[in-house]
Amino acid sequence: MDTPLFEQLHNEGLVSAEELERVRVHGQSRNISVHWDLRTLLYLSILLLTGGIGILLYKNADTIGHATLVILTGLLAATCLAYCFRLAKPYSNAMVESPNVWFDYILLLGCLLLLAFVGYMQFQYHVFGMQWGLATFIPMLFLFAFAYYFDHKGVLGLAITNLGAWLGIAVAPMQLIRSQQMGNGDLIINGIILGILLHLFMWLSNNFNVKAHFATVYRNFGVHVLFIALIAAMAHFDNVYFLWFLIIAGVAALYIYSAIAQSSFYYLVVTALYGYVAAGYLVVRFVITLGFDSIFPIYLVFIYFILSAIGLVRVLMRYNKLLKQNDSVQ
Amino acid sequence: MIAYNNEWLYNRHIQAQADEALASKYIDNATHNAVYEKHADHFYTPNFFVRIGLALLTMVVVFFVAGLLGLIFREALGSFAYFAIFIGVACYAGAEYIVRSNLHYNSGVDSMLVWLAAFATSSGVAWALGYSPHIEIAQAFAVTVICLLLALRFADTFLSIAAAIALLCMVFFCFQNSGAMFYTIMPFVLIVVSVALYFVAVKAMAVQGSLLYKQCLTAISIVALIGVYAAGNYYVVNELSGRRYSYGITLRPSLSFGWFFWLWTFAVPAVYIWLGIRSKNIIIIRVGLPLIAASLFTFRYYHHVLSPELAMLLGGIVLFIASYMLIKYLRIPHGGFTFEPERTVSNDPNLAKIVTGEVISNSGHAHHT
Repeated sequence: MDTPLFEQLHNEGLVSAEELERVRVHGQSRNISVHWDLRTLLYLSILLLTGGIGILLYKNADTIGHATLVILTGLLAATCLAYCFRLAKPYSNAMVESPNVWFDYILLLGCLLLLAFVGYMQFQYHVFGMQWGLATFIPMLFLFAFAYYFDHKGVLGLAITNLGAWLGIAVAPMQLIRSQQMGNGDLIINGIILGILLHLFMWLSNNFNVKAHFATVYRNFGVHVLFIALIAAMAHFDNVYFLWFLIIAGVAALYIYSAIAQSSFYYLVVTALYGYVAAGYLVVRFVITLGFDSIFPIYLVFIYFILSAIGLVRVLMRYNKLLKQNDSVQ
Repeated sequence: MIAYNNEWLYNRHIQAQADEALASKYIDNATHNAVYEKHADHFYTPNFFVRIGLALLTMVVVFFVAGLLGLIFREALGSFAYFAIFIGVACYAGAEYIVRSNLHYNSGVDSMLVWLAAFATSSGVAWALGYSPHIEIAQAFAVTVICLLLALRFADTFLSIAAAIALLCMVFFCFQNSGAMFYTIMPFVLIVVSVALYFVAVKAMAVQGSLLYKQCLTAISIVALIGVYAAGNYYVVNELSGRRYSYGITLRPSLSFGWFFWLWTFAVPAVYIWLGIRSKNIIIIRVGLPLIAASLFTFRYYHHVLSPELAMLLGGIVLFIASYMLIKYLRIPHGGFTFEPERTVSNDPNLAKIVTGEVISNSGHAHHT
């Protein structure tokens, strides 16, 4: 700490003698916190371990033998999870602190190994037969259960990713069999469904107060999935592109409304930028219909982007001020 | 010298110190608010996410303005180089204007304009210099000067890093293409220059009045530390020197002083961590840790001792045990280091509320973050 500065502040009459003394005595001999450094190393070690085991399984299956490897992975996963079950505090709908620093990382290791285990079982032994949907659905259930039971946002993120994979796999192959071709359209619709589902989960978590702090995770995944899927839909389903634009505008309006109500800068900016991309697409799409007989339409596009970006800058600055005032009201 | 109001910049430093003292409970809320009120600033710095949004939109505006101008004057435009320099100067003027009249400070708009000014002017000048042998020395020199001047004017950390890297590149270019003898001594020259750069940055930090450049100087010192390591890293030296292209064949004479560079590759990270622990300098430790990984990668590139997956597995186990032991050991502070999370205003929800709430209602101008 800048001790001479506090001496100056003391001379100005802002800092009392007692406070200055505290800064003098403790400020110089402060311990440096390596909390996040060590946590990052721990996290890296888990990534290296699971990555190494994953490649080891893939490469050496024929020399060591499938059975040995599967059993080994399963045992490791079970050990990690057993450790977590033994140490975990009882379940609660509220937020639960982890019993110790390593707990979160061991749980993550256990869950990743479990995924490797199930994936291997399906790939090698076809435990779920041709039901690939089931092969993603079962681990997803486990991940959601663990995320809630142990209160782990990282595992919840894994579960949500798995939900996306399951939606993609469960719907797409059916289409594949039916029409012999897989269009992007299905994937986009899946994305929209996933986005809506995540918002539903967010609402449920908040409304019934079940792990209310998970709502932010659902919302964060949900907002990006939904907007990207909607913008992709606008580009893909070209004959009704204006309808999709109206939907995007509606969702964006709802989001901006709630961002202001909750004083959330993050959702304000994210929504403004996605909305800007959608509006830009609309304008370019419209200009293309005008044709390219002269260079004039291209000028229009450039002028539109310049003016709209300046306009959005002003809007963001205004709302920044507004949200700050809300902050002080609370 | 700095475009921003210096007194307000200094007040920002005072405010940050008051936050730190409040988080550590050296001073109470009343004192903290009194300091904020007496040492206020009127800068416009919006919320972090808003800043990212503003920066992106500023980039959109500049790109499309440049595109529109290029389109309108496409016949009259003689050369790309002068057009880029013109855009760069315009960005600089825009930054000066927005800082002076709208009191922006790190608002996203001013930073982005300064970066684009540096980028456009540098590429314009580099283009204007054209292509001739050894011209890259002049180009690197131009980039160094442009970035340095803008970094000085706006106390910009990112451009300080760019200037330091451009400087090291210039030294490298000076020795490239100048004969076998220079190849051999080039790594040593680069090491000496990096070490000198580090000491210049550290000495400058101690100078009274360099406070407003503290972040820039810290960033330069990090670049210099990495430079010291990279200049003597076996892989880097082996790749950059001794390569000769003649009639499409790459000739690579064996590296002289090879043993020295192997020693350097492994000794430097260890020395960094040792120095960092001894002098309680977390920055040197944080630079040293990834360099250990870089050294291991360098070794594995030449000696395939383990298969990648076994190396990952082994590395994971070693890292897990090491961090496990360290966390246990630092539960109780040892040697000036602790596992206790740092207390800051932002990670203490009670304090964060007090700070933002009080400041806005007390000082009457909503320009604080």
